[in-house]
Amino acid sequence: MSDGAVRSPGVGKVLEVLVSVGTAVAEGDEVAVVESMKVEIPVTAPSAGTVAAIRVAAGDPVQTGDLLLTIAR
Amino acid sequence: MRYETAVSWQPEVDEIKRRVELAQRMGGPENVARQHAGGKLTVRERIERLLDPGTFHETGALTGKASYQDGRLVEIVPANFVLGTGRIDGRRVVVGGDDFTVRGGAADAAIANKQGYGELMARELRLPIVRLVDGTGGGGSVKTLDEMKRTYVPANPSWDVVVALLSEVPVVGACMGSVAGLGAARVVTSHFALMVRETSQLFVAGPPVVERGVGEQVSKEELGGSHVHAQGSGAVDNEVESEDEAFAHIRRLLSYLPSNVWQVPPRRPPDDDPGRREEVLLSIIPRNRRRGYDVRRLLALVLDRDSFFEIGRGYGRPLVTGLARLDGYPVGVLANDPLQGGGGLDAPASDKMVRFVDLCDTFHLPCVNFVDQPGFLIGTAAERAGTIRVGARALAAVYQATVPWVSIIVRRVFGVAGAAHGNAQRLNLRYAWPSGDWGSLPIEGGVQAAYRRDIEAAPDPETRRRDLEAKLDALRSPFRTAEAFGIEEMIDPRDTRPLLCDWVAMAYDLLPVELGPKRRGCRP
Repeated sequence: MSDGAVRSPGVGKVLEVLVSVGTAVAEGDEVAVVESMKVEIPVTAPSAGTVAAIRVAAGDPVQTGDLLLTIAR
Repeated sequence: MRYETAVSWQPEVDEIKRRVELAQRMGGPENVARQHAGGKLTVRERIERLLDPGTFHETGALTGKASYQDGRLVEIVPANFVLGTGRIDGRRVVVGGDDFTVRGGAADAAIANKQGYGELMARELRLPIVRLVDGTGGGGSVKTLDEMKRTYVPANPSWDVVVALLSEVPVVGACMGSVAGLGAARVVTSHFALMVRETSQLFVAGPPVVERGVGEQVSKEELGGSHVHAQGSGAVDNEVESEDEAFAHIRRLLSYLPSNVWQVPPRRPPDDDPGRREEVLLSIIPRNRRRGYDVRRLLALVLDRDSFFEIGRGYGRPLVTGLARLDGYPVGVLANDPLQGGGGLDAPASDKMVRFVDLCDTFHLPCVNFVDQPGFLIGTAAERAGTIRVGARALAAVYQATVPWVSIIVRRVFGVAGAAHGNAQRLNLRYAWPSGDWGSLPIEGGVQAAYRRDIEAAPDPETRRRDLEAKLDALRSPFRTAEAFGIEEMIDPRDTRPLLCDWVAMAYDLLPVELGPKRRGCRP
């Protein structure tokens, strides 16, 4: 059911985006880090593919479930 | 001899057999083929696969709509609900399922209150009940109107029993097809509900009614697919890939539970060393407070090997809940997941906690809480979700629970949510790891709030704030708390399993005098 959407695992801010558009990723690769409730949470790719779009930058505030980036197969 | 044969009841006995065989045909070969083509098993196949082989004892196999010619039966369409008892791992259960091949499982093909009879069986025989719901689960169809030539004021059949069961015996709701209305309510009025990915959908009303009522055009999968409920709404607990996996989940869930609230949960012969001390536990919590860790790995290292059965993984994710064993004894397990929203208790996680604590309390399952709780989730979204009210219900569930309870404080305990790691007015047995870190609120934001004037008056407010934080941070050591008996014991994380295995035996010694229903009833 993965639609390639990578979403925020918590409310907080984006600490780092570790990929750029066009980066090839494998399932489970770390693609971003979000800080929530003072914990740094690694965000991983739900499936292998290529980063198609990035919707956030380091420092952006995010809510749980916000779209961070998308991965195309 | 000849004379005796002539007056025996053999013809009628043969007729019973013939009719039982006719019932096996269900809605006929065409409808059965259609059910299979949809990737689904028939209700009779489901029951066979769920139960231990050959243990199904049917009640009401002869129920059906019969047609006669010259007083002879020519055809019988069975009732669309199959009911009986059987065994799971040798333990008796009641099982009932809708037969979708007969009028799509709708109420107009139901006969008498066969379904309600099953609920009564579970209640009076004090047996777990498994509902395999496929259809409207006894709910209505507009066709009823045409047949009855009148409407009726809706009533939920046997609902007092359906509700009462939750406080007395384990209830499982399996959504096995497109299930609406009363059927959906029957699925979720349970201790454990599950859905099969892609072949089951659950909703109050299906797409045609939704389109007419609120103007939305959606597919049934978009409206009520398993991802909607198991990964979002929380209406069901688990999502499985196939019907066989559904049966495996149901069998596994029941293996931890007693048959009713008057019995002690069943211990299994232990298959793991109660004295096992895992080296990894010494370093599983990162020294850097900002780093998370894999809480499920931690659980696997402490609990009996492969004994953790997670409930509701896709919902309320900051809180992990499930059943497991310690030295063979079933226990309820709660744990905070720092990699989901930092582990902060949000409204869905609070809701999950209420149901889980109630489940454990109802069935006298001792609870182990692995605590790393930064507090209720904060921020505008959390406030708008009513986190404090749902969170307060989670607190109430912990304070109403009377089962033996132990907390392993693995890291943070902050705020009101952290305080609810156990019932502080009771013994509140707990063990803290050296990584323990606690307070009424975190130093970082707390300093700004408490020393505002002091900070603002300083020539360099930023330096003043940092100095204050450093000063208070030095007082943060859990050893200082232990000196004041503010934490009763600090332990080597590797000793956690041996300690818990010792505790669980004590807990089970207490259970026999605690049995029976709780004063607090269970709600779905």
